[in-house]
Amino acid sequence: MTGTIKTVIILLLLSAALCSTAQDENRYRRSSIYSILINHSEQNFSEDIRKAFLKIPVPDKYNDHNLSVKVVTLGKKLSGASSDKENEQITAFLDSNQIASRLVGRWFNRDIYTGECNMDLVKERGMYDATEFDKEMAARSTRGIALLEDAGEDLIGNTFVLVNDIRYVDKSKTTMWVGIGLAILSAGAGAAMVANGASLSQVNSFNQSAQNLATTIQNIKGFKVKINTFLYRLVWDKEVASAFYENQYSNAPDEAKRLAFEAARAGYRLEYVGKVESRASETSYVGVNLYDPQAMVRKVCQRALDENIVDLQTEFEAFRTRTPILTSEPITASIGLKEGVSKKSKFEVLERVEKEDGTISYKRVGVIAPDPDLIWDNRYMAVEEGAPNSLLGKTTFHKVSGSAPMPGMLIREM
Amino acid sequence: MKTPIHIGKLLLISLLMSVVMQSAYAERLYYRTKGNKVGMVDARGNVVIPIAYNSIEPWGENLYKVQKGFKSGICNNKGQIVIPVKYYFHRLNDKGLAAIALGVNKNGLIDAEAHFILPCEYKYLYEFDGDASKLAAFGEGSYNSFEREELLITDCRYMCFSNSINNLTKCGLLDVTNGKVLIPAGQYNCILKPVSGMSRYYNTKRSNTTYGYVNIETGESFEVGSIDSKLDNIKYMTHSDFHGNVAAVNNGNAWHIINRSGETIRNNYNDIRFNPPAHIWVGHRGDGTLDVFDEDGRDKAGFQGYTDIVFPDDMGDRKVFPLKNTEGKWGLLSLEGTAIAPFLYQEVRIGCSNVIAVRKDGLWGFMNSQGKQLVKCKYADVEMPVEQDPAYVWYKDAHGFWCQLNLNTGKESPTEYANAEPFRDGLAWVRPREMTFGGGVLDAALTTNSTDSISESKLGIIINEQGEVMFPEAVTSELLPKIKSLIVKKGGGALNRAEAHRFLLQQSAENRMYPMNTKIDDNDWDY
Repeated sequence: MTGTIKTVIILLLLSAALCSTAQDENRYRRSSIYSILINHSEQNFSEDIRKAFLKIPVPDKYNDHNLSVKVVTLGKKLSGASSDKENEQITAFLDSNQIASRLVGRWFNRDIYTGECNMDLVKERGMYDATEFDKEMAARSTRGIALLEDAGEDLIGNTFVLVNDIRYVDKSKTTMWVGIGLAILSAGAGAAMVANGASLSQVNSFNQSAQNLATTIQNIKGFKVKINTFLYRLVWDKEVASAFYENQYSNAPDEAKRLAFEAARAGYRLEYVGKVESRASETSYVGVNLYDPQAMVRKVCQRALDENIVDLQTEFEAFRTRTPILTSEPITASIGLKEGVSKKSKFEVLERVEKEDGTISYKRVGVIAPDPDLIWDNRYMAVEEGAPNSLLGKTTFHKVSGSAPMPGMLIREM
Repeated sequence: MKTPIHIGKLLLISLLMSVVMQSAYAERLYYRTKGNKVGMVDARGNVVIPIAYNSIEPWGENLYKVQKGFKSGICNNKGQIVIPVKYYFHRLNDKGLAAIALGVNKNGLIDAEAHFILPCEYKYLYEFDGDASKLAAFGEGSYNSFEREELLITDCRYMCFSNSINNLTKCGLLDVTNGKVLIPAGQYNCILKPVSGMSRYYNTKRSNTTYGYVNIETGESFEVGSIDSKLDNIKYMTHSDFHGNVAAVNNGNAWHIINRSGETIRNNYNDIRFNPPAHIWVGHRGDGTLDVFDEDGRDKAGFQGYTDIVFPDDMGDRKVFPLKNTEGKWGLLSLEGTAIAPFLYQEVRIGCSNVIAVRKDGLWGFMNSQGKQLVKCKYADVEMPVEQDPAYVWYKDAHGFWCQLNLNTGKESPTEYANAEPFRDGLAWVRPREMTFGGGVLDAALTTNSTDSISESKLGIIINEQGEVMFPEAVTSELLPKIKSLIVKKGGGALNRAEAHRFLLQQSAENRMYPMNTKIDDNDWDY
């Protein structure tokens, strides 16, 4: 009987192995981002934009390193918004509010009242063996120091702040789309009228209801925003790290170290990396519930923000993300139009190498490119829009050079 | 001696098993695109659904909704068109129903198997509002508000239909399960959702409205009253739904009970109530007497001769009712009319818990739903528990403060609170006698999605049943469930001040924004 059970178990395991399985795509190191909105309260739709922004999640290729302040308001245009140079107003905001120190505080889960810190987040995002990590830290071994340096370079030093200046693009010339709008409502979204009745008070004002709806549709159809995204990076070098670990880090309540960190907040810095501007292109309203205009605001904002992130990755190598390969036959990865994948994209394949001292490095082992017809459209609401390839679930690639990529290896756009 | 496992045999068998497992996916199709068009291919790459559509998405099992331009149809996994591509579809709801239209004013319903439940013949289709509380909350006449952003969110057992684009009254009634027209359109200005096989109706001509019932099985109707008022101006409830075989009708002076033929079988009530869980009706008369009767209008045995009754919010598995006798004393009866607790009490409070509060000689105590006294009547006031078999309740002490009472041991805790709410899952919101507020007030104030400040009396802390502080920052009681989740995530341990602070900042994030050119207070940061 025991032999039979063993046989069954082995058979099951072998069968599972022979069926293709996807790798755990969440287990890899990511950069961390904190995203802020500059909300223009003097504009129409500022409240809608604010609400939409707060609903947009951190892209899954990044760690969520958000702080408690997400929205700042400005009652006029941001001066210097169109320039690529470092924006004085934004830098002043980041400096005066000591954002860099708060990002560090978050890395170490710092208790603002007692000064107590821990390495839980570092261990989790760095995918270190937690027990090994603690052991090496406690022993203050060479390996432990190497692990801290590794965490610093690959994790803490890859913490970014995105300041998004979002402005509604006001349509000064408006075409009355009433007739066409209604036609589209009744034809394209005709089913939306089904089972949608009215209270008796609206019985005699159907035409008026239709008119208001047309106005809403008109606003929805042409809704556009322009987003300037400014990118900053947390400065975490040996000097900063050393000062922190020696004088400010404590794994138990420590008033002296708490005060030392508070006094040192101004010394933590963010460095300006660069800026991109969205294209303010037309976003299709197809797929948007016309009775929920807020959904269109979110669609427009999210697509524009995603585009800006792609542009930042293109321009600034340090901001580029790594994505794991899901399968090797065919070569696939959970990446698509949202991340800027196009027919012309090329990706380097990186193999994760763990050194003897426990630190991690990446070695290029090949290059792949996407199959033009099999690029996943994973943009926000692509499915609702009925976009082709929106249901692929992944993009398929072919090898360009190097050795055959294996599941678990990472790819990064070149 | 154990038989060695032969590796060769093992591999062969596992290969076979793998083939069997993979064959389960043999019918699975894969997307294939060409330019802007999409189709579907099988595992060998053969085109099954032509690469000719703008989009394809799964529909139920082994079906696909295919779309060209604005129009869609349904295809099966063999590429056969099941529903031609000339309709407009909405999404399937969680009951496998979807609205479908064949152009303007030709609406119907289909299911996840692409069967037409209602043909595309109706200009308008309406669901009845799913929120039963709205049926009584507003004045009679404005029956249900059907406006909503999502479709088919109710059970859609019955739907109204109208073919008049300019007049959305005069609807008919459909049985969606079989598509049968129960009430033809054009007969009544307003019909309400059928209950117990009967649908209330209203008809208005000039400034007079008549009202009655339609038997949806026989189609017969009868009028029960009329009022010199337009439908929208009727200020009181005219007639109730049928529950069982009786309904209540208001003639403007009193309520009376009718049967399915419209005959009055009981009359002259000042007010009428129906208790759905117990299926019993209650009517008060002007002389103070109480009638309790069943869904056939017959007296409920054992419930006669009383002057008042309390319906609990939630029966649960309890079947007990507090009743007041002619001497003004309260006791408990079971649903069958047998005595559970004697008629000795000045007042009885019953909620959703199986612990009931009773007042005798001006003081409160507790008993359970079997009538067993748990705590003697000795407290100035008590707070009703909300859980079944609660371990702790609150009582008001001689100083007017709230204290914890262990129902099992009778032990009273000496700690006094200015206010307290019942324990839920081992936690309770309390307001200490002396509570100071710092920045916690601002955070807590904004957690209710309002920029208005909250009265300090609504702010307290969270404690466990041992009286230990589990959430040390000022917070409103509505956040208790979320705080409970955090505590569970922390292995049952109390949140420290920093954790509590971060939680409140997170809760209020939607309501906080700051002028860009000012330095934000440190208290508004989490790190």
